[in-house]
Amino acid sequence: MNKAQAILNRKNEILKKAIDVDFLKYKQSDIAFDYEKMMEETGYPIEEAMRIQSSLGVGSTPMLELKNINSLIKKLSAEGFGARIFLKDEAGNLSGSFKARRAAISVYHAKKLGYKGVIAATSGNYGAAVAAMCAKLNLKCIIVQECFDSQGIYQPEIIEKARAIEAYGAEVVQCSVGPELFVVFLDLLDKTGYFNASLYSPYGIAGLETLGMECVDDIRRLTGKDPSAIVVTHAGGGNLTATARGAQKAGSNCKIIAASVNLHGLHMASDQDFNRKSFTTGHTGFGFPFAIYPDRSDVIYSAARALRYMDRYLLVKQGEVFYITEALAKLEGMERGPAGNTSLAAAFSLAQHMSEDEIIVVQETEYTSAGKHYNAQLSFAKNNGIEILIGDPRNEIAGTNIVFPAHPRDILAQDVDLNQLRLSYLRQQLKMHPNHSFTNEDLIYMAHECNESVEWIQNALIELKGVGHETT
Amino acid sequence: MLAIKGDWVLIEQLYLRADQRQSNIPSDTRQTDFHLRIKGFLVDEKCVVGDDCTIKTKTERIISGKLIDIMPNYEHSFGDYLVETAYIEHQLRNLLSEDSHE
Repeated sequence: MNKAQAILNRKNEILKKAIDVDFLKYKQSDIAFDYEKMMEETGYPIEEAMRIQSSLGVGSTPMLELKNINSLIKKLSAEGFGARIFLKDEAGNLSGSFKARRAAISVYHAKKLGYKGVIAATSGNYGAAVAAMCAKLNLKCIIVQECFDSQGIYQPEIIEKARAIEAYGAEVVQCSVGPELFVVFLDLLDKTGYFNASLYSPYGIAGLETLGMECVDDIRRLTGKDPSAIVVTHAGGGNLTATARGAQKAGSNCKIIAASVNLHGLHMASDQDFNRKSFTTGHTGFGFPFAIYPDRSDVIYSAARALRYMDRYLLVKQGEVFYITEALAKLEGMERGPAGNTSLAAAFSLAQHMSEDEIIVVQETEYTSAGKHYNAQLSFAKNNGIEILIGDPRNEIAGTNIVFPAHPRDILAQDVDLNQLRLSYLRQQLKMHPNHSFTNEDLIYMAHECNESVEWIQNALIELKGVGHETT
Repeated sequence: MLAIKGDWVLIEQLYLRADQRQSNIPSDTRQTDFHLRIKGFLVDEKCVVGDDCTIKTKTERIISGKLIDIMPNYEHSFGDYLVETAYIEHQLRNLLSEDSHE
């Protein structure tokens, strides 16, 4: 047996030592677990999360109306249409992104439990967030990131994140392309005895519920009404899940709309494709697989379960997000992103089809810098042979070209058929449990997972299996 | 290039050979070795780039690998001036200054 397999065989044992959640306590069957009970018993109450974050320089970020962008939306919309967009400036958190909310609670929890350090596997802003919180709470920190291809070429955005992590005093372990990063992560947890500051733990999600609540509270304070929709950049599912839960806890029934960059055709584990994408997160390469199968993460049961909360799922192209990133800088004086602006690009399109009385919240920004800036990404893309074109973004082919919209009216977010996503979720369950007889408990669980009725699940299973299924 | 004890250096570890990689990954990736790169302070008295050495990392792990850089710095940038995107500002300002719906 090789080294990787030997470590993977000890996965559950290693993860159990590295996080104090007894996940299996919530297991109901091979399919189902009690998600709400897990969140209730292991997360943090939202008021406590807010107190912890406030003491760590996290949260209570500005909510800004994008007045010039909203004027533009009005000009592009039919009479009576053109919802107003408000943007939650999460770049104001320590470390420069909303990920600080997740990190604050995870690292606080690790400290409380007496761990000497924490480890997180992330190529994104979460690494800088965990490093910053560890700096404040005097814990050691290792961030494991996928960073360079087999030619030794680094993605510029990930170099910047490594720089920020190191600036906050943490250690960075950089990996070449491939899912074996998870083996390295387990190996490090095992050897150091550090805490697993997973993006997908109940602590991380509890920490981010404060963002959903603030979004609703801010809009009520500023406008006297509730937002109609919150648009959330979607990748691993935590951002969407937690925002939705926080908004619900604020008593809002606003729509929760996911947005991802469409990277159709690029394989996330491909060495050759690695440096052909201009977005390292917030894209379909994470958004689809994590919606369909959330438990692919680094905990036994993921607390991030996006399909439960998604009312719509919109896709935008790389060129559309870059255009809106430029618009945000030039019209609103905000140099942010780019990945965090995925939801803004989707909202820009969405707003034109909503009433002028309605309000859309775009719930995050992220700091920009060398490497992250879209000029850096576009220059890198050009050096890798990707064409930069101006035209109809619907003609963009990820990995081949980036198409900037010729006119802002050409920014047209595309709807994902959520029923197809739900069917994919069920197909995944059938694939993993081919001989399983679904109990009523399983059906209820899958109905919650898909935000659908038990009857819909029953019919879908019949359709997928081609024959009637048995229940016990 | 010679590093001496205490220098801040970058090492590379061959973590998995191509033939040790997981079977369920794309074929192009499966043909490559899986490497790690880690920074730390050189523990050995001296080492030449390309040779094996031992370092102490920020979390005080003692690890070994091939020395690939001494005093590694950051060279990422804000990229080049992009003529392709120069139209956006002008276009947005013009649209905003128009009086009515398009």
